Formats: sequence, C-alpha cells, structure tokens
Amino acid sequence: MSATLSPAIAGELSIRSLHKEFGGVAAIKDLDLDIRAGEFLCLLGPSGCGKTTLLRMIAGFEEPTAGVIELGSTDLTRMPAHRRPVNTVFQAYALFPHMTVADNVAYGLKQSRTPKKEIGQRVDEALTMVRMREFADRSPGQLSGGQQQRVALARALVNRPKVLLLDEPMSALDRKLREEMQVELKLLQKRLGITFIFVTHDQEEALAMSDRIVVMYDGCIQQIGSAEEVYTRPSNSFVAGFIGKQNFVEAVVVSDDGGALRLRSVNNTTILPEPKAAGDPGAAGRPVPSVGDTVRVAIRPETLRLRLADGVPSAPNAVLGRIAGVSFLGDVVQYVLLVGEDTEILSRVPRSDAVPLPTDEDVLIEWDGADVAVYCDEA
Amino acid sequence: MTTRFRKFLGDSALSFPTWAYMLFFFALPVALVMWYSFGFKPDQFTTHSMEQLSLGRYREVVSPTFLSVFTATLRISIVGTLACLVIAVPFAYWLAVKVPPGRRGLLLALVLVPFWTNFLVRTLGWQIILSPDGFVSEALQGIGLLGSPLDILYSRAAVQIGVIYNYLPLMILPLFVAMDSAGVQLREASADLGAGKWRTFFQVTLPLATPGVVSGCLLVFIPLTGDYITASVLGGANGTMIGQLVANQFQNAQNWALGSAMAVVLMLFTLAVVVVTALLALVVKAIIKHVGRVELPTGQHAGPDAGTAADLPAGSGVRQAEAAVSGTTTGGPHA
Repeated sequence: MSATLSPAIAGELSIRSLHKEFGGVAAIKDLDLDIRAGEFLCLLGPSGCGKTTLLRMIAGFEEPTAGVIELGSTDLTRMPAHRRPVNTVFQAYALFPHMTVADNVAYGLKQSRTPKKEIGQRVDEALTMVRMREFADRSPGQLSGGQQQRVALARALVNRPKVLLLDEPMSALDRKLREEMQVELKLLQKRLGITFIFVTHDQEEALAMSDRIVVMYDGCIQQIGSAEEVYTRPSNSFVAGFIGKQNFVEAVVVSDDGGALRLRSVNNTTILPEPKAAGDPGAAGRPVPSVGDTVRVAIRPETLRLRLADGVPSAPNAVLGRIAGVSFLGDVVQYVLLVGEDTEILSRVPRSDAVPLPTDEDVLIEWDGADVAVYCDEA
Repeated sequence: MTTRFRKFLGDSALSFPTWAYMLFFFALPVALVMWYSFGFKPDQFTTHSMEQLSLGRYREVVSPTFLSVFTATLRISIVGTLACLVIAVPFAYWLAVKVPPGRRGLLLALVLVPFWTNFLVRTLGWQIILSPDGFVSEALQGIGLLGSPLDILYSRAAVQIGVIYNYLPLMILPLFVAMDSAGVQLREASADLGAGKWRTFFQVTLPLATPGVVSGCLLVFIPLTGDYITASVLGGANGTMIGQLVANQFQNAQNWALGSAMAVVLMLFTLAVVVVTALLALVVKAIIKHVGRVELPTGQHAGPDAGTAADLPAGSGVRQAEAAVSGTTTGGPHA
C-alpha cells in the first residue's frame, strides 16, 4: 500500500505578503511563510490569531485580500478550491451523512473520474491504512468520534494530495484518544512523506507532533522553529508565555556592563541573566533594554530550585519565598510560591521519592542566569 | 388501577391538546364524510339521509363529467407541484447558500408577505393581472409580443398560474430549511475533494435536501388537489377542479351524500398518488445507489499488511498505544 500512497510529490508551499481582511479588520497581516516539502508544520496560536484563516486560504475557501500562495511553481492564489491538489481534514470531520464510509472515501476519486476498479482498490487501501476497513458499509452516524476522524483522514489521503491540511482535527476527541492519535498521525505522516499543515490551539499537541511550529498571534507570525526552539528560546514574551508554563516578573535594569545586565526585582532580588550569545535565534532582532528600563523577566517553573530557607539569600539569582500550595500532578510536583506580598511564582520539580516540601514553609528559590529570559516588549 | 393504565392516562393527559384536536377536528369529520357517502339525498330540503345505505353515490361519482374534471385536476396538481419544485429549488439554494445569513430573514419575510393577505383577495388580484385589458396584456401588446389582448383569464392556464403562485411559498420554506441545515461545511468538504459547484449541488446539497423536497411536494400537492378557490376565481367555466364539484354539492346542490362520496374518492386518490410517487422515488434512489456504489476488493482484510500494528514501525511503546486505540474505537480488540 505504501507504494500507492507514498512517496508524495514534493509539496512545497511558499506564501508571500499574504493579507486578509474581513470587513476592514485584518485577520492576516502581510504574512510570509515557507513550508518545506514533507514537513509536519503546526500553526499554533490562541483563537482569533488567524491560523484557521491562513489554512482556509491555502485550501481555497477564503480569497486573500492581497498576496500570493504558491505550491512548487503553481500559483494557487486564485485557483478554486476544487482544483487545488490539497485536501483537508475538517474540525468536525464533515463526513457526508447520506453516504457510507466507503462512498465518503471514494468521493474525491469519483470527482477526478478515476476508473471504478482503481477506486475500489484505493478506497480499500486507505480504509485499511486507518484501520477502518471493516466499517466500509457503515454510515458516518454509526461511528464514534475517533472512527469518524479516521474516515475523514482516509477520505483526504486517498486522493494523494501534495499537502494535507488539518483544522484542529483532534479537538472533539477525549484526551487519551487524542494523545494516541497524535502518535499515530505523526507516524503516518513520516511514512507517507506528505506535507502536513496542522492547525491547533493546543500547545502540547503542537510540541508533540511538529517538525516546526509557527506561533501566531494577532494575524502575524511570532516565531517559527522546532518544538525545542520555541520552548527554550522564545523570541518574544508572547511566545514565552503562550508555550508552556511561565513565570513572569517585572524588573528594573540597574546596570549594563557590555550586555551583562543586572536587574532588580520584587523584594530587592538581584537577577543576573546570562548574556545571550550572538546569533542566538531567540535573541536576534530583539530590542535591547537600557539602564533604568522596566523589563519582563521570564523563568520556567522547572528551572527553579527549592530548598528550605536557612537565612536571607546573599547571592544574586535567589529569593526567599513561602510555599502557598503543593499539588501532585503525576510526573511532577507543582509548588505555588509567594514572594513578598503578592508575587506568585510556580515551581515544578520532577516527582521523587523524597517527601514534598510542606506548605507555609519559607524556602530559598534559586535559578541559573542561563535560564532567565529578558523581554522589553509589551505582552 | 394498574400502573399501565395510570401511565396511559398520565401520558394522554399531557398530549390532550394534540389528540383532542386530531380526534374532533380530523378523525371525526373524516369519519362522518365517509359515513354520509353511503347515504342519499331524499328530497329537495334535506341534505342527506342514512336510512338506506348504498354505493349508489360512488356510481354517480364515476361519471364521465367527474372523470374529466378529475383528470384536469390531476394535471393541474402535478404540473403545479413540479413547477413549484423547479422554481423553488434554485431559489431555496440561492437563499440558503449564496445570500449572507444576515439578509435571509428579510428575504424569507418577503416570501411570506403574500401569506399575510387573504387567499381570496390575492387570487382576485390575479384576475386584474391576467385580464384582457390589464397592465400585463397592455404591456405585452405594447412591446409587440401580442397582437391582440391577452386571452388567458377563465382558462386552465390561468388556474395553473394561480395555483403555482398560491402554493410556491409552501415549497420554498421546507426546501430552504433542508438546504440550510446541510451546512456550509459539507459543501466545503465537497469542493475540497474536487467537486465543482454543480457536482456539489447534485451529489451533496440536493440529496441531503430530499426530506425538504418530499415535505414540500406533499405540502403543495395535497392542498392543491383539493383547492377550489383558485379554480373558481381564475378558471371560470373552463378551469373546473374537483374541489369545486365537492363544494358545489355541499353548498349549492345541498347533496351532502354525493359531495361526501366525491370527497372520499378525492382523498383516496390523493393518497394513492402520494404512495405511488413515494415508491417510485424509493426505487430510483435504490438504483442510483446501486449504480454509484464502490466495489471494494473482496476479503475482509485485504493485503498481507492490513493487520492492526503491522503497518507501523516495530518497537517503542507505539504498538501498545495502537492496540489501545483500536480497543477504544472499535469497542473490542481485533486483529
């Protein structure tokens, strides 16, 4: 079967100065994006960030106000949806309720006037691939959400699209099934070599599956990078806050010694961030704060170290806090710490055999300068 | 009292308005009409008598006059229903698919405006439109399409136009609802899979609107067959429909027995047409389904690698997850 469904023809998308307005309000603002052939790309962002609009323009359901979408050397921008070598898995699956599972999967092949015998074979293969072969004669209404999703996937993939678009296809599944489908979808994509563009607002989903993640907000791309890059080296405070848990505190720049900043934060804490190396993608093009500026400091909960306090900290990159709450999350233990009157800090430590620290205890919170990110943009 | 009886009483109390209405205003009158149809008209001043039951009225009904009116009625009803369908399908499609949702309310209201006017009055309006010295006639003569005044009023054609006008909204509404409920998502899915606008219409939108087509046709055909106002106002002596004959027996001839027999024949006939049409539609549907069906290669699990985990890389915890997925989604482990 892999001979017929793969390897896909290169599905390389290039999007140039794409702009979309709805009634004068910009949903996509002058966006440029290159999507590599055969990659699994996630468009990630909160609702209203324009990710679905972008996907719908690639599919051909929305016409761009300006800009160009090219697949290889073919200009898709004004091509009607039914002519594009692109298929979509819809959020609510959109299976045809008046057709059987097999007829649903055969629909696209019938439109392209594929010989009847070949239709039968390819539908069979596609249904086998998603392990829905024995449901061929059912109607979609008789299937569970997970099964409908598999049929929707088969219905799209049977046409051997160059690019597969997935519009939050997992959002209707329960958590466990969703995680299993993520693994399965990723393996399938690897095997078929088709370019997948996956829209989601679920960062865990994006981190789990993507070769690259495009973080979007307010119609613009905030960052493009691998899961590790966007998590460990977010390019601005939006990305830093959107991906994963994050502690944000305000601080004032006290001195700047050739890029080595000294910051003062709540309770007179001294923060010494490690200067970013030149060429770090997380630092490139970022505004540099000057002495006296107020900046936002981000420190991941899992990079904090806790120990019972034995006095006031004298070294920098440490602060005294009180444990306000402890929650056991399975693989990690999460502490809610109170610094000063009202600054809440999250800390996550891997679960161990040691007894968790008790609440209402004073603890010393320490971190490394390398784990501190400084932003002077507005979140 | 048994609980069963109590339950029956409780349920029927809640549904009282419905069954009482059906019983007193539908079942009982129909039963009475059926009963009267076996009676006769004894003298000039009595509408009916049940002293002697016979099928005599039915023999009277099956007269050449009645049958010719019957054929005419049938033709007007079928042509009228089909014409309503042909006009309503594109309109309902346009309204449900092309018009932005914000403007639909206004357009639907415009469709319904004639319904706020008295049935008789708006039919009388067509007398003015279709009359030989009306504005349509003058306009057609003015642009040279007609050499002489329009001669259509008091004809079968006038009745035909009148019924299409009167019953069109009853076709548009269910069709619009059916096409609207199919939703934009399925049409987008169809386009995504390579179907243009026409193919999407015939393969997705129209098949999904079948319930709307059926109820629209019933809503138009049944009352249209029994209509007599339109025929009386626009048909004159030439456009007689069966409803006129029934009304005539009840109102003018005061022969309730014969009128009832005619009404019963009309009802049975309408029912027969509906049943036959439904059966035909089912047969056509089955044929279309049979012709378009996909033949999958035989054998439940085609190919040697069709098993559950065989097409996935071995090792890792994936197989376990796979097995779990198939267990969750198919309701039991297989393979």
